[in-house]
Amino acid sequence: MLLWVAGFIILLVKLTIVLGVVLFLAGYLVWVERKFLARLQIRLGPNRAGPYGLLQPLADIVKMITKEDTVPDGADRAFFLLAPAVVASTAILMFSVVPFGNDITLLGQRVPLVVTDLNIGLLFVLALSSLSVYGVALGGWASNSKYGLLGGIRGAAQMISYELSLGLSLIPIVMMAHSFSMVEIVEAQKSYPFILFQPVAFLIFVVSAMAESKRIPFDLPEAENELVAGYHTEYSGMRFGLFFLGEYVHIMVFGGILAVLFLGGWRGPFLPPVVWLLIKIFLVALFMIWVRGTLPRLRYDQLMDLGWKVLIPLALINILVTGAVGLIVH
Amino acid sequence: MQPAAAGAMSPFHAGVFSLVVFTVLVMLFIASQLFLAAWLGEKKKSPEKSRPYECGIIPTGSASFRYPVPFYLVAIFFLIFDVEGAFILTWAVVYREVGLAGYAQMSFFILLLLAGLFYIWKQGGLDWKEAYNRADS
Amino acid sequence: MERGVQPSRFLNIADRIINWSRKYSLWPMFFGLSCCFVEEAATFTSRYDLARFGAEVIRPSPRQSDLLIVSGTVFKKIAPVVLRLYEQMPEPKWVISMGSCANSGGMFDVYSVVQGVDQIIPVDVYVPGCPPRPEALLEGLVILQDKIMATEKPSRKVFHLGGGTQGTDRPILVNGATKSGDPRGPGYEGLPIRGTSIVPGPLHWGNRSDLMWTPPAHRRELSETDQAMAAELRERFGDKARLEPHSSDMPTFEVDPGSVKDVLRFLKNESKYKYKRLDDLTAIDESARRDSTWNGGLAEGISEAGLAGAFSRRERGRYPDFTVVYQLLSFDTASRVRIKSGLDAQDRARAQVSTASITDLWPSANWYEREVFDMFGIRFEGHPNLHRILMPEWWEGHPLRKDYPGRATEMAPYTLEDARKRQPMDAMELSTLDNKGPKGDTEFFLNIGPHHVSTHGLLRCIAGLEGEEIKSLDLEIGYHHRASEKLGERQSWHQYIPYTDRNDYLAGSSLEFSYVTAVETLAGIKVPERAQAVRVLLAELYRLSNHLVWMATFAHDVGAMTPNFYTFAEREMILDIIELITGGRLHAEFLRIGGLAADLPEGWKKAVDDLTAIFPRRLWEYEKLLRKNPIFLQRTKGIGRISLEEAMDWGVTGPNLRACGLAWDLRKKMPYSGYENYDFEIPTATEGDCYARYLVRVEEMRQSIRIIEQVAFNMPSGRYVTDDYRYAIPRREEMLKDIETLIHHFINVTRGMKIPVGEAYGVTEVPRGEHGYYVVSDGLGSAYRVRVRGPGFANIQTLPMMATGESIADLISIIGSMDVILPDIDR
Repeated sequence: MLLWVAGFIILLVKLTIVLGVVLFLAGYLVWVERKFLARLQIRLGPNRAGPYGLLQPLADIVKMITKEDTVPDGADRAFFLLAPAVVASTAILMFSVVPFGNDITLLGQRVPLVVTDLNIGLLFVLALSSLSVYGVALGGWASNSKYGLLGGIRGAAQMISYELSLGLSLIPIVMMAHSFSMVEIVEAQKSYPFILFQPVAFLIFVVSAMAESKRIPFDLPEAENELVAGYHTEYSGMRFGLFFLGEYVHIMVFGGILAVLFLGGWRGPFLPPVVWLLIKIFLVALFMIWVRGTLPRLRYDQLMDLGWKVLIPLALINILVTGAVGLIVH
Repeated sequence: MQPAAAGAMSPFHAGVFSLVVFTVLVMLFIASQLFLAAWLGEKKKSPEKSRPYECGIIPTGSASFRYPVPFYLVAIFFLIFDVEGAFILTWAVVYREVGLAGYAQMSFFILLLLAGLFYIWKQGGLDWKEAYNRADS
Repeated sequence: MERGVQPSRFLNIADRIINWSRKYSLWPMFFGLSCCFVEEAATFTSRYDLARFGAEVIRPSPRQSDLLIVSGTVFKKIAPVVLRLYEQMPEPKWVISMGSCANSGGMFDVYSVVQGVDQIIPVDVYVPGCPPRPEALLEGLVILQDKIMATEKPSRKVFHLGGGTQGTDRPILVNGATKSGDPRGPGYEGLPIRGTSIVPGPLHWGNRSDLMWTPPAHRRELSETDQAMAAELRERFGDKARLEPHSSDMPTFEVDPGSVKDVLRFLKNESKYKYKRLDDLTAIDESARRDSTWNGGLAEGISEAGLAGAFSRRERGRYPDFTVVYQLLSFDTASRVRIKSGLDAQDRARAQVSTASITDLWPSANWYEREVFDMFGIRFEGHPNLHRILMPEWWEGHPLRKDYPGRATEMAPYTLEDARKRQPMDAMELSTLDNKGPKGDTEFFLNIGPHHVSTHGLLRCIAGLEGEEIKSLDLEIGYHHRASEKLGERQSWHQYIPYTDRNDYLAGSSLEFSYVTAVETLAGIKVPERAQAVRVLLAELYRLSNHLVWMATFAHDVGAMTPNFYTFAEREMILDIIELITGGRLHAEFLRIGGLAADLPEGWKKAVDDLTAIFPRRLWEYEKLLRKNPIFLQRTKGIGRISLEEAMDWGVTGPNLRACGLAWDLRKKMPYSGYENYDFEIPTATEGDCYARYLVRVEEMRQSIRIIEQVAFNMPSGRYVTDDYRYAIPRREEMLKDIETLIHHFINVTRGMKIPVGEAYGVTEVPRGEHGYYVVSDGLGSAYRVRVRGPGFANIQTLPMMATGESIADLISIIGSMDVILPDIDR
């Protein structure tokens, strides 16, 4: 029993650290994005709030929390108030299946460095990512705002379309790893990362995941040039902040999952596993920011065309090819 | 392994229990944010503030419309393909075990799926822009 | 430790943390009213980098904004929107009033402008300037940050403890009570505002300009085609269309109201010269004319006796009540013709004046006629939707009538109640008004603008949507109506120059260029070669600067955020050159009638050479970001197509016309100011879509650089201003030498010079197309009527045609590709 309590405390500490690190990194990802975009655009970026503007995320969060929380007339209150929570919490929960190191031993017990090693880890990620559609669609719909509604609908259509290619692109990974478990997928990349064998799946996954996280060139649901702020037009203060947080956690999680599925997860020479995972996440995040700084935005029909006419057929064919090659090699 | 730490409730096992605890933690965090968002900050209601935003103009009519046909199409296609994707997933984990026969069957299934996709494509179900015009006529 | 101290200490610490956070997280709302917004936007770019203060997270929705920067002129029509957006921002919120217009109305003391935004919303920081430089806005932001840190005690409000302060706490000012309604400040109430006495009105006689002598207006010999066309008209219409014996700029006919439409139809369809474009359609209120001859003769003195009691103007003088002026252009012969038609009112109040509508001849006449109706109250029989266009529907009176007060300070002050009551028209109502009954079963009306990131100013599009497809599109303009035509009637000829810059705040001197060309044509002033070359230099520099802004915003409209920052770097370089030469950035105010304000400064050549050396390579770099980007191509190719025939019919000018395949550029077709001496091409494209417009503009930049190189290399020496000091402001060195010149200087600077009776149209190819000024002189120190022909007014009228059937995203691409700017649409 005592061991259970000690273990529980260790678990709590571990999970709190994971949560804290995820939130902290998401917050600082905002800072990284603002600084990195600034450098891309020959600017300095925030540098007044703390040295190098390092306290900028703190300023933003305190400001947003102490800002008035407005709800427009005619809004569906319950949905309106909860929608940001759906987006933020599903994004954070997705991180729970990302392993960040080999097991370590504490109190004579093996403590796995992953929140949960579900044997259906991959499906769990896909399921949560589908759930976050609700946050976007309901948030836009419940605002009683036309821009919100249009953004919400765009979001729903876009996210479910790319959900398909996202799922299909991962099937070859499952085939190669024989498992849905993220831990086992990392295990399967002991000798080589999957990106070497599945470049097509990698590309499809990157594109779909970017569409899922609603960033340029796929930021149609919030396209400020067209829909003002899209589904979060009516959100103020910390509720908007949660959408914001959700987006950046999503980038992190996407980086983490990408690292796990294609880049060998926490594996890497010399440095500790956690550091390797963070480096990989960071590089993925930088890539996404770079893309944001470079590309224009697709139009709705072009976005759907890309999803349905290019990515889905490609993903299906990729499965067939992987299967054939796999069987022959076997 | 000692009995106290074994099983589904083991804190040392990265299983559902750990996930539940993590979920609770996340929910607590989100709830705290929602609570702070709702509690902190001065509230000043005014008729204009609670009017939905529409570029500074008083909105006309309600913010809802009859969903155009293409959106339903997306939903239906998604349902079909997602369900069928689930079949492929189940096959994927065991594809080596089921061998060539399984692969042949699955290839047939996937080709069928592709054929279906091309059929929809051909029928104009994926022409999002033209779909508007068709729905109009 | 005492118990009571603890909470207050806690609150003090909380105050500091909250204030510090807010200070560095002031997210401004994306809202620009006019010129100042361009400088506000520049503040975000590389050289100034507002991001350093944590304030670059510019939010399109008021819900997420903390700071409202009122940048530019607050119009009475937009004021309710400004108020609503402010009220829709959550607490706490702050306001920076940027620029003279927002502070006090600035130089726009006219009927359509609110004299200071502080009359409707509270203001924390005023940033002076017209427009303020980006550095000034940075200073304003820092002052606001300091104010937040120093004076606010937010924690009591945040924790609901009662008391505390946060956000703007200043009161709204009331004109006449807490602020002076007098633009000169308090204490001058007894004195008439300077300039009011020179404004021609029905009872305005005895102007001292009459004491001055000038030669009669410039007389232009008719060209052969003009004579042939006149013969054609004489043959067909006989006495109904009378060629005026003298004109300064183009053949001018006076046509009986009954025959106007026939004459116009003839000129458009049957004449050998095919006057295909309706260049302009406007009117003149002749009621304040002095009794001078109709056709450019000298003022003959005043005979008031004969005027009293006469019912119609025509009976007592030679002027009708109103003149409607049509101006046509022939692409084949590169010539223009002006048709004037005098209208007499049926009653003394001049409420019933009407003539035939020509909307069935030229579709573009629709807006022109609505504008004439709005401004003069002239009705057009047969017009499909004759209602106000620039002024809001609730407006009383017709502002360009001579008996209408021009100044806002002569009218009742604009108050908070007005801003609450005078709401913009309901979308459904307006759409019904424009379409004559509901169209189809569209039930979902979406207002895109006036506050929207991508309408490039205060343009309101009302889209009838089905899903995202635009089923119907109606435009509402007039949110940026700055009354520049009315202003022309009260500013002296020279004083009007600064107003012309502001009619297109991205093209600066190019507009002064058109205006001074008009006045110089009318008075027959010869401009020295050096001045001509400098004018070309400035015009091309502004073309570059404008196209760079356009490239940035167009890219931004299709979602690419970075080109903005790149192109603004070169734009700053160009503005530095302009600043070196003229002292101004956006508004150069450097051209003068007869020449320039000053000679070129030392070091101008090196600055220009530096630019021409790097520009082509930089442009190519920026282009690579767009032209080779498949997404950009997908978003622009085949979108918003307009055919050449339609473009000519609708009066589309500039790059938008050239993108349809017609090599029509005034610089080549009707060269002015020495453009014939430079070697350059007219870029064209054939598709008429967004991508074609992109190609044309980018190529135009390359051509502009060529012209700039040539001008700089061949800069002639000599005078920078004409020595005809009757019309020009003399050079200072000469003024100090002899008494004649001193007197000219004194007269021309104070009272303003006199321009002979007559009329002339001056037009140049500005970055957006043909921007012309039609000036009418009654022989006084200020114009009798100034008409501004903005290219945007005609160009934007084609938007509904281009965008109907496309999606919202395409609408945004199309607006971006058209390069619209509101002040030249609403003027």
